[in-house]
Amino acid sequence: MASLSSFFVLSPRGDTIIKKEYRFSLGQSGAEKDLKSSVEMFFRKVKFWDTSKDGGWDGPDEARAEADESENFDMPKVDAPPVFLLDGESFLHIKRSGLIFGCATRYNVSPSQTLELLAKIAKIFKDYCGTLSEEAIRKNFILLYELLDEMLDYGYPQVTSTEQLKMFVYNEPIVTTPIVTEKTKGSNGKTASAASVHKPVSVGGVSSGKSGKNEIFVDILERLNVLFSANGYVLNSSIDGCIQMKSYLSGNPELRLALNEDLVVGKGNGQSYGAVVLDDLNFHDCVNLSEFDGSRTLSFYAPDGEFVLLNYRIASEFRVPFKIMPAIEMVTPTKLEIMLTVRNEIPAENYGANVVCRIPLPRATATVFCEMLGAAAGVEQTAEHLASERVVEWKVKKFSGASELSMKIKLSLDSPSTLQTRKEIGPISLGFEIPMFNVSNLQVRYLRIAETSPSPFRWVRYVTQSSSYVCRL
Amino acid sequence: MNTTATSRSAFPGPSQSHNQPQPGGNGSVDPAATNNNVKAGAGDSYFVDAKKGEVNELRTLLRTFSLEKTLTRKREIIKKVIAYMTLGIDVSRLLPDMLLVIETRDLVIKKMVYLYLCTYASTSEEVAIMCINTLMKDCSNDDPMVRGLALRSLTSLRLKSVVEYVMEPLRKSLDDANAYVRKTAVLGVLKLHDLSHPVTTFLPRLTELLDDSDPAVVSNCISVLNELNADTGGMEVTRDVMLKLLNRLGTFNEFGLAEVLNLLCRYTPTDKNETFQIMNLLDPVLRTSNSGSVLAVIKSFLHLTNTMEELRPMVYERVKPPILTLIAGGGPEQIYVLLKHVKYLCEANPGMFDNEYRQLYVRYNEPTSIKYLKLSILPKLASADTAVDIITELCEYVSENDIRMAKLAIEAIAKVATERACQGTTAGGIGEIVTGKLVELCSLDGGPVSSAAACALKDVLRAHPNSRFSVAPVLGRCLKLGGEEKGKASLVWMIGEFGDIVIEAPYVLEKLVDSWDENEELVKLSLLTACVKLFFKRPPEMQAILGRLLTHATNDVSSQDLHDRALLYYRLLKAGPEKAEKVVNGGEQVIEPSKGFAEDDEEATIKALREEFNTLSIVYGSKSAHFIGEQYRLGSANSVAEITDAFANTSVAPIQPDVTAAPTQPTPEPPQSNDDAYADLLGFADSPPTPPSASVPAAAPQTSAMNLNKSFAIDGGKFQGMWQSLPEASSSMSAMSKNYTVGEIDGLLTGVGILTMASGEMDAEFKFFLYAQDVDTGSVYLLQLVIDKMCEPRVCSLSIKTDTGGEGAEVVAKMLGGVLGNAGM
Repeated sequence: MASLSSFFVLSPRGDTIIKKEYRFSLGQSGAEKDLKSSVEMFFRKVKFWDTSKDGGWDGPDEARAEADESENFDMPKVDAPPVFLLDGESFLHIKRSGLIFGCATRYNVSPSQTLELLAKIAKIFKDYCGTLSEEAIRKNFILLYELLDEMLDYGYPQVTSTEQLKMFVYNEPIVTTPIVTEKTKGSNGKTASAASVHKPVSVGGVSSGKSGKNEIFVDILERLNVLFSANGYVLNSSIDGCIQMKSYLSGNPELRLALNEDLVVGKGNGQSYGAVVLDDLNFHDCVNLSEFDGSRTLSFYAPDGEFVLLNYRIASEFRVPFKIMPAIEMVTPTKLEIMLTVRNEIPAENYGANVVCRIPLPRATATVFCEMLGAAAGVEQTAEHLASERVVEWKVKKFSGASELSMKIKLSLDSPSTLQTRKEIGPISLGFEIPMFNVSNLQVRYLRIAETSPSPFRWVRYVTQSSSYVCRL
Repeated sequence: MNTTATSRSAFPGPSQSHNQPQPGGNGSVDPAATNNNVKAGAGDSYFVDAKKGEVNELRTLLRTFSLEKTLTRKREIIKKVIAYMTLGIDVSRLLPDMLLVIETRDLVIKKMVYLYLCTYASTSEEVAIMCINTLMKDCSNDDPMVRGLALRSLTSLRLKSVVEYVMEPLRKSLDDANAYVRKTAVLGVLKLHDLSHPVTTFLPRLTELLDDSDPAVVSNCISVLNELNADTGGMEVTRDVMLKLLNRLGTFNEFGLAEVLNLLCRYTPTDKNETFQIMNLLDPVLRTSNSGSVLAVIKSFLHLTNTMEELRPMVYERVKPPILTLIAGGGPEQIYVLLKHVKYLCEANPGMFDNEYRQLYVRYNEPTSIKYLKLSILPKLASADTAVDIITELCEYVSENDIRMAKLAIEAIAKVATERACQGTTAGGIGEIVTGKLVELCSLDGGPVSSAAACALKDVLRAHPNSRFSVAPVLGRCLKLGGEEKGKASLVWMIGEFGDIVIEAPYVLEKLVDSWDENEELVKLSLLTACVKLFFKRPPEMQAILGRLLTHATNDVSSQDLHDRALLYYRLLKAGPEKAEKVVNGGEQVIEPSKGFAEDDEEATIKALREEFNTLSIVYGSKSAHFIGEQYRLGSANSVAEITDAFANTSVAPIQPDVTAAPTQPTPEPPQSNDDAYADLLGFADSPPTPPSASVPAAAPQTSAMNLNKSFAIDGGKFQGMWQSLPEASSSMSAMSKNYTVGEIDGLLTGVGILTMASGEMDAEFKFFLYAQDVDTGSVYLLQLVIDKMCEPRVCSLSIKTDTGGEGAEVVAKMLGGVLGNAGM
């Protein structure tokens, strides 16, 4: 039994934008419990998650912070877990673009399956609205209710694929232009991923020709997790990769996508030199794997809208694109100098975009002076001390391959430096994006589309991003 | 919205009186109150009027609906109503006007009106009934989309008075040519059932639909049958049904797949071959990127290998990479749930993820919920080989800016020393490393980190007493640094415990004793214990200090606990120091590192949770019985499935494995009165354990007031059918006086004519399906007996169904109780 009692979408401020109740539950008083008040309660819980009394069910050894921490030492916001119990109901939620997609249930559901369902609903909302934002949802709420009615009946999932839903939908999407904030990833045109194409899928009834181009976007996206020790040695590294697609192909033709022929899956399988070795990978439901073992080719009927064709994972060592080399020198007991060098080791024809390096500073920091050294002409970079967060943020707009940048931070302290002061510096984190480059060498050899008559546009892109790219001091 | 809510609750009186104006009552009202009334009432009425105004405006707009020429304008009007509804404004008053709009051909408008109806129909049944005609008409529309839509709305109105009208369209729709309509109808049956309307007439059709050509119909069917049969553990799973479903596994979407896999967990394959075939069939699902499906397959694998322990290691090895890949690629929410499952697997199968411990290191950009969870997993991954790496990594987290994280990291470090990693020869070494790290943190600065380290150190030393020599020298200095209450209390405790090797112990404690009032309660409490313990070790130095301390403590009125504990020590000492020492130091208790602390012992939970893998239970770390309401649970799913399956295949009562044990003399353990008293005190037993009744089984028939037919027979299918259709006539619970085996119970009951349909022994309980027939009246009684083995004394719950309408059920219950020697059945 896996039925939901309600589904809702909340704005970042907690306003209910969409809600639908499936199982009317009786409260203790016998009166029907008000969904509105329980959603409000849920939101408060998410917003001010209290680790000291988290519903009583979160294992005894986890997040048991004492209540006597009133001194408000350094309390970063605690993120509420995505699943928790509240007043006899389990609430599950995911966050997408600042919005909360949530549901409540009284049954002992599979939490993974339920979260997958929420993610699917969010994806479908995005496919149909073109973009996921409070405004887009508010403007399209009738369309979304229509979709929701087909996706969930009496709390059970029904039709959940974008193309099948087209048959049932009669409302047309109202397109909103996404607000391009500075934070939006890939403000740089070339690194913009397929996900940043804000175009709703064409809706049934309406001829697909109207929405224009017959095209498909393919992103080979790799997120890097690297941990350096203070002397530049890589302690731990892994790649979380995926091939992400966004399809606007009319008629859902069959596609064939070929990967490197020398691709090796699994550790310890006899591997030739230079082969791409993946620890493991998984595929979208639509993929037919009959040819994968032989020729590393996938065939599939691309579903409409956005989807992840496959995910892969590499835990073995690889050439890291950026090396971080820090050095701390104590000039006087109250003066420290942090010398930081970042070397970009990718080929010179590539570059790192929007490189952001953050260096946490000790509590006793009084004044900070940053000095960027030895930059070649034309390197656009800034360094800023964010006093409230106690970090120095060093930004480089475009960091060319095979080059090196350095910065010196001069700190003066309120009190003489101690062991603890030194410990408070770091870890240094690096955020970046490298367009048209991937670390693993996984390649899309070709992407063929069965029906060739109006040859669709195929946009294939490689992007490497930082995930947790950290250097310890 | 918030501000209005508070302002209204601030003046509850006035706003109420405003809502019910009393004509002519003004003269007698207290002037102050009137004043107040005016002020608060004005604000309130503005709010109400505004709302009323808006809704009235909508009504006016709705009345122009038929005059509007263009479809878009018409749609806009209805859309406005729905918009208000979403905002939480009560637009139920528009119901009559909305009903006028219902006759439309535009599907967009139709859908909106139906959405409105499903929300508000129940607010005014009489008015809502007017829409029934249209809905029923739409149920036989040519367009299947309209049919399905109308049926879905019709069944979602939640109007008891229209249930009668729904039956016919529902019956027709279950046979509809279009799958969309059929799948909607299937759920409609459930909706009707939940309005407490009998739906037994639909059951045969639902069972047929399990074979439907459309997978969506089938998966809805499974959901509905599961809910309808919730009290017998869900839908009946036969081999036939199961194999049919598995053969078309590929046609289901991921949610249908999950339903089928859940059923599979209640199915036992006939032989090993079948088991392997099923596992091979499921294996490809492990390669998909849906975490729900992957976990469901893992659960199925665990279930299928239930009787083949030797295959378990292979299963664990097979499912490890997919889990890690999902963790690498998933969203943070999915990762959280997956990590909870990883944590569980580490507990159930220690060592499983040991070699992948680096994959589970904390990443700086993760949400704190995941970071904290990882901190609780990492110590579980520490083996002799990896412990040092993991401790080093955890130490890095201690210096994080997040103080919670630092504290949890310290706890995790301590856990490495008290858990699995410390078995065997390396134990001492790891204990020493952990102690060293903690001592370093402890003597840091007297901040929260130091205090947390002190608490952790105390636990580690209980498991590694040999490390005390490296701790002793720094304790006094650490205490001087101050810190949080808990940390100080731990330090004081350790000073008392290892006072023989802490040279300055008496002087350190003396200082605290003399500044008694400045100490926090916890510190005072452990100071008491520490001083008394130290007194036994170093009496000459401590005597005077202890005297002063006891005076302080017995005069301290701030805490009852403190006062009482001081008095206890005082009286013990008065009785003689030797005796007191025996009590206070009562035997050294070194904690076995491999076993961990008593409070961490979760073995029983781990076992119980295996059945609930891939459910919320794993996330909460607790059995579903503790957090899911009774009516939302499947009646102990697994056990019943095995039994129902058993009698689906054979019409003879299956042989119980224990039947051979029956002849052996029952050797009931005399219930220990002590245990019983405790059990009762703590409320462990569901019913108070009454003294075992004197009546021995042989004497039982005396109580029988009914002559049961001992040669009556009934086959499995009929039993199943009757059990589902009959209402429950009686149910009771009672404590058992003896711990019978399955075979013994079977024998005893057969003796009086209560015959066994099927029985089985599960981890936590025995389960019997029994039947009996009254010779005189010919009425049949069906019984379900569940004996909870976990309780002491055992508790059995009995439910009886009968075709007599309840008559005689109590008598049968009495007979059964008498035979088994139960109290109060």
